[in-house]
Parts: sequence; C-alpha cells; structure tokens
Amino acid sequence: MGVGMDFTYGLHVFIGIFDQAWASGLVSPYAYLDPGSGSYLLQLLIASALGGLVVLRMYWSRVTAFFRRIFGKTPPDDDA
Amino acid sequence: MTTPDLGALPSSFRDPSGFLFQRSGGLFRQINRSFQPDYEQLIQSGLYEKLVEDRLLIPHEEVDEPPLEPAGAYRVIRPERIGFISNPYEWCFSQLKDAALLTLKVQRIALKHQMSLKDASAYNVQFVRGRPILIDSLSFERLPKGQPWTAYRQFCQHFLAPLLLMSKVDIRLADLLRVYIDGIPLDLTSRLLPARTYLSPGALIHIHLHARAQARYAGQDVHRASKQRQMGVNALVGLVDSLQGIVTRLTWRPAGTAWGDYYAFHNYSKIAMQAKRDAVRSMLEEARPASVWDLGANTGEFSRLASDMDISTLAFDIDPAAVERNYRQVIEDGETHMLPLVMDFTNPSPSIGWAHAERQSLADRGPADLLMALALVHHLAIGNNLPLDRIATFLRRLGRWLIIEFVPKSDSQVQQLLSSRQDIFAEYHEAGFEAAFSQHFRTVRKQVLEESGRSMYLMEARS
Repeated sequence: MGVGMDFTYGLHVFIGIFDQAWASGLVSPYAYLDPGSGSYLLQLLIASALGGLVVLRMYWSRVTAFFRRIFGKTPPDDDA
Repeated sequence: MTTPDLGALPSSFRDPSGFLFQRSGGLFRQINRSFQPDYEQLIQSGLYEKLVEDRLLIPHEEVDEPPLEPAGAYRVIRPERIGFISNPYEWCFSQLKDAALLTLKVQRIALKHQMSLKDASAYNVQFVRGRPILIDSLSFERLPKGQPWTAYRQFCQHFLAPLLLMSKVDIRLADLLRVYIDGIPLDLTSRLLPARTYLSPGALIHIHLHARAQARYAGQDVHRASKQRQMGVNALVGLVDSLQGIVTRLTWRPAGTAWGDYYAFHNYSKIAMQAKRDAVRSMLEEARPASVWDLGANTGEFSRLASDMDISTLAFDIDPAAVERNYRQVIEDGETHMLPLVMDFTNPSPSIGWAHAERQSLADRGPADLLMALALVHHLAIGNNLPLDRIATFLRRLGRWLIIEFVPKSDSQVQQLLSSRQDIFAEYHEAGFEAAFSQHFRTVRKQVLEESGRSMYLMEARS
C-alpha cells in the first residue's frame, strides 16, 4: 500500500499548493453531472503522466520512422 | 407498454439540456436553449455526421414538432426509434465491455472536434441491430478548456468497476448494477477486488486510488484547485487511452456455469432435434410474429429460427455464459435481428429508480408478439415449485402467441429434477398442463415430437 500512500500524500501537497489560488467556477454550467471532487483532483494529478504518454507515443513513431530511413528500408509514408 | 402517451419519459429528467417525451405514439427529444451552442457545435463541427456515419450515435431528424415545455425550448428532434430498451444489468460481460469501448471511442472522436461527453452512463448505450450504439445525442458539451473529464467518475462506476468485478471476482456481480443505479460505488468495488489488483496500474489508479480520493475530498471545493489549462487535450486523450487499454485487456471465459454446456448433454437424438426444429419453424411461419422473446434460450439455437426469418428476437437466459456465447456469435456473424440478454424468469428485472419508474420492469417493456418457452416449463413447475396456472397467467402478460414445449415426468430431464426430492407434483401431467393453459390461451396446433415423448404447442392468447 506504500505506492497508494505516496499518491495520496502527493494529492495532499498538490491541493495545499493550489489552495491559495482562487479561480471562478471553470466547470461547464451544462455539466449537470457531479464530476466528484476526488475524481476531479485525481485526474489533475495524473494529467501530466497521461499527457506525457500520448506525446511519447506520437514521437516514438517518428523516432522509429527516422531509424528505418537511416537503415535504407522504405520509409513509411504514414508518418503523421 | 405503459409509457404515458403525452409527457416526459420518467427516466429522462436529470439533464437540463433537454429530455425525451412521447406524443401521439412518437418519441421526441426537446433541446433547451441552454444547450443551443453545444448542439450547434455538435452539428457544425462535423462530429454528429462522423459519429452517425460510423454507426456510433443514433441518428435523428430535426422536426417541426412543438416542444413539450415551450419556455426555454430551443428545438425538437426525433431520434431513430429503438426496438427494445435493455438495461446494463441484463447484459453479458462482452456486451458491457463493448458498450464501454464504444463510450471511449466516442469520447476520443469528440475530443478531436473540441467536444467532450458530459456523461458516461451505461444507460446511454443501447443495442441496435446487434451492436452497441450511443443514444443520448445531448451528451456532448463544448470542451471546457483545461478541465478534467466530467464523466470520468461515472465511467468508472458504470463500466470499469462492474467489468473488473465480473472478470476478477465473479460474473454474478453484474447484478450489483441493478442495485446501484448510478454504477457500482468505487469503495465497494475496491473492497471486493482481490489484493493482486493493487499491482495492476489501471485498477490501482482508476478504482483503488480513485475510491480513496473520493472519500478524502468528498464535498470539497475543487474550483480553487485548478487554474486554467490544468488538463490539456493530450491528457484527456491519454486518459481515454489508459481506460481503453485496461478495458480491452479484461476478459471472461464463459465456462464453468451450470448451463454452459447444455446442448452437449441433452437427450435429443438427431431425429428428435430435427423434428423439434421443424415444428418450431412451421409454427413461426404460421403465427408470423413481428417480435419474438425466447425464454430460456441458452445459446440461441432455436432463437435463430426466428431471427433468421428477420424477426426481431430477444434471446433470454438465466446463465451469463450462455448469453455470452450467443452474443459472441451475433458479433462474429454480423447478425442484426438477435439480442441476447441475461434474465431469470423466476425473478425478472423489476422497475427501479426514482418513483419505481426510471427503468422499466421486463413485463412493462412487453408484450412480445410471440413467446418461445422450449424446455422451460418443467424448470419453472418442478425446479421452482410454480403451479402451472400461475405460469400460464404470467406468460399471458408477456406475449400474445406462445410456442411452448411440454416435457412429461417420464423425461430424463424431469427425472433428474426429481431425483433428490419428494414428488409433490400430482398435477404435473399433459392434461393438467393443457387445462391450466386453456384458461388463458387457445391451442391452435399441437404436435407430438418424434422420439422424445415431448409435445410442442402453438397457442394464441384469449382476449
């Protein structure tokens, strides 16, 4: 459960830092559903990790395409 | 059906963007002015067109129909009608999984059009022509910049939690969806899941930590915790990817349940099986029903006699493994007239939710044009101590025509049911069966099946 406790601690620190900031309600008024405070905060906490994975995946295909070109194989033209 | 002919549907009230209502036999959706900019973006961004083209969202028409509540109304649309509304607690594992993957796929496409699903309820998905489809056209909101996904909690409770419980603990935990109408609470899920799920990052984050975060920060003001751009589109896509990966990897093997291998161990010879199939087929041709409910359908062998005739068929069975096998075949073969569902006829889906009216009971979603009750009555009468006349009364409520197989006591299946108990069923014989049913149905045709000792009846309800 050590990992779990680290995450909860991290959440705690995170909230502490932003507690001073005051932002007007940024949640869409048409989102009638209660997103849940905990769910909201958890996502913010893992956001950078999730975003990073997406960027990594995007660049990974470019990296492999680059190496394929170097080694004389037909470069893939779906490099997007 | 007992839906009111004029008025908003009892299940459609939570979302201020609009609601469904019925008028003169037609089903309409009123869109309120508060939702106008979102609806316009849905259409103008091309998201609607893309989703309808890929058959991920139910199509609708914009109509001139007057709104039910003119104050605040923007316009009225008419969504394509769905044959039968099923509930997530009636779905087998793969149906729930496919509904989850559909929701995530839609969210990913929505993000590309600067929109996002504002809810992720399993009740927003229905099965149409065999496949899952999103039915709530008002689920899309303009992407709120920097905000986490509003529907994340609901997705975890409606989809991820039950799928994990069905896969890692017991398939029967799907029934918890009937008890918890907004999905299974995450803290309960966390407690029920085995300890080894703490080692899997997906379950760890989206269930265990999620549950703790919910408990820890319940009711606290989160607006102050976020400044602009805290969760960019990449992070939202990453979240969808993460959930998609986890759901895709969840599996369940349909084996080890009591009825899974039924057809391997039945007592029909080839001739008897063919005779039964011929009898059912000819009775279907005689009745020409528009819809069929096969009760105790197992993997749908006889249900397909109806669906192959292009009749809309629901194949109900108490065993999730049988329904799972049936559904996998529907998907593999691209069948469009078959919907397998899990149902216990001794305890069928009740009306649940607010005012006992949010989700309809099974009987309220009927009646069917024709019911098939093959190799079923002895399970109800002997296995469940149900008097034959009560069985007849309930079947009369569920359908107009009836194809029903009477299995006599001499049959080995009945002998097996009686093997460990006292035979208190003095009234269980063919004459008793015919007398009990003749109060509610008239027998159109009776056919004795070769080589099996059983009889097949085609009956029509008395008015």
